[in-house]
Amino acid sequence: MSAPRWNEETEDRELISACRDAGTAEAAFEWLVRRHQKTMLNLAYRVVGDYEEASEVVQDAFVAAYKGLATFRGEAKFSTWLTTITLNQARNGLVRIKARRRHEAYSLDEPRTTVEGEVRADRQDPPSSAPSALDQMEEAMVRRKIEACLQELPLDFREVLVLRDLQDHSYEEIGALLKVREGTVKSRLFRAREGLKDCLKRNRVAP
Amino acid sequence: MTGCREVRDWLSEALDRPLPPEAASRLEAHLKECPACRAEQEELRWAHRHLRRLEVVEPPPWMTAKIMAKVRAEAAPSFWGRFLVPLLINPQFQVATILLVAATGYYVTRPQPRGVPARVEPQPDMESAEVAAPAPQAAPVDSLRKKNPAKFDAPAQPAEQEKREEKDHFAPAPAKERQDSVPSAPPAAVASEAIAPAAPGRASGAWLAGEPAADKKAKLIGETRATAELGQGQSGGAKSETSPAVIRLAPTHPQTVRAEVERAVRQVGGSILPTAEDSRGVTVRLGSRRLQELVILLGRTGRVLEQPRDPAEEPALMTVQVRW
Repeated sequence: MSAPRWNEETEDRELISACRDAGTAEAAFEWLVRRHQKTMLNLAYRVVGDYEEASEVVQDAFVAAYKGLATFRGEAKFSTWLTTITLNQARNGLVRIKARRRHEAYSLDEPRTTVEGEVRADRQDPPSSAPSALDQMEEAMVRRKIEACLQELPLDFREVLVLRDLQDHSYEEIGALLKVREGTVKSRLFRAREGLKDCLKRNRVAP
Repeated sequence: MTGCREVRDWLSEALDRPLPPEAASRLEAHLKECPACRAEQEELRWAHRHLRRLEVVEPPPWMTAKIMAKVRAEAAPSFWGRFLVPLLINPQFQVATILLVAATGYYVTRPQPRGVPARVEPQPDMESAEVAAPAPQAAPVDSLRKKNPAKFDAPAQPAEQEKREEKDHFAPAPAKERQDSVPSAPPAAVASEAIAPAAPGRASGAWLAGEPAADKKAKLIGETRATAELGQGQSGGAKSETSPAVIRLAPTHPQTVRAEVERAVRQVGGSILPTAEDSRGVTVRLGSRRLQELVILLGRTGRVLEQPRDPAEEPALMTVQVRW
């Protein structure tokens, strides 16, 4: 059997069909992984706030997607379906993080916010495609504060904010992903942005 | 006049998409007049801008390989799955499995053919092998009486017949009294021989071997009377009330023998006489016709080492001491 001719132009639909053939399933699914893992990782990372945990979340999400391919009917885009799976796995990841932090010194005894309300932003930077921020220390500090404030938001608000501002999903798509009405998406988005703004103000990060 | 609260909802939406014309004009008009809302707008835009500037993180170089390794592990059939995969993919296996399951279900649930009881109830039948084994207390003896009332109430067998049928079916009698080489069987098994024919090959069954069924029954019934001659030389004839007979037991469960004896006495319609405290026996008053029934019931508690002769020439009350 000749090697399949797939490339970056091959649509997800075709790859999914190939996944249902035992002879080409593995190769086709690897294409899907390479194509979507970065987006899913960024989604997971911004939701759970921990790079290592986000890596685990993405792995679990892809395995769950592979197992559930038989039930994927193709009515929605594969990326949308995969996003839903990743969000669900991210919620599980948050539970694991919470459980882990209960046993670590860095938890209740060392709150993530200081007495003045400043958030602690002492995580290591994950590898990124942006150049080093040595010459832009202020930008780096702002970025860290924003990341920390993002993690301070309630999960429901954080999800809509990440899906909208970082993943560029429309209100309608976000409503379908989270299974809420568009009005709820709008409301949560407003409150998420207000919460982020107020957090940055408390941390003396201001325009 | 548009309020600040209403405007702030529009401020967020305006970051994502154009507002409807009316909302857009009202927002613009309000912002011209409200410095607080203008400041709010500026702060929202700033946060929004920096949020979108968060860098895109790269997946670790090993991520694809690790994902595919996990996917392969999921795809590999499990230990049991290897057996089930042919079942899932091969229609012939599926049909064969369905037929096998159906056939098994049929054989398990089919009604029993006639003549084969689903459960063998312990019957007091002479030819049953299950009678005096652990069985409902009242059934065997009462059934015996109902089936063969004449035998139970019949006068004593002629002396020579009694001698011929003389046998201790309850326990090995003293050596000089024994007619056959009765093996020392367990109490239940020994007791059962009183009413049932022994299995072939057992010495104790020799006296029934080769006899017609009806004769066997008659002998077994008579047997229960004839055993009165065993043990310590009890004379025949009706017992008087003044000379209590003795039944001596070797109980299997000494802790519960008293309760078992009392139960047996009640079953035959007897009564336990109040006597001085005695931990090794009771005194019983019962109809002499029920003596053999009592002996049979007591045989279940262990070995009957000694029993009185059947005194019943005529029905009479008798006193029996049961000791263990």
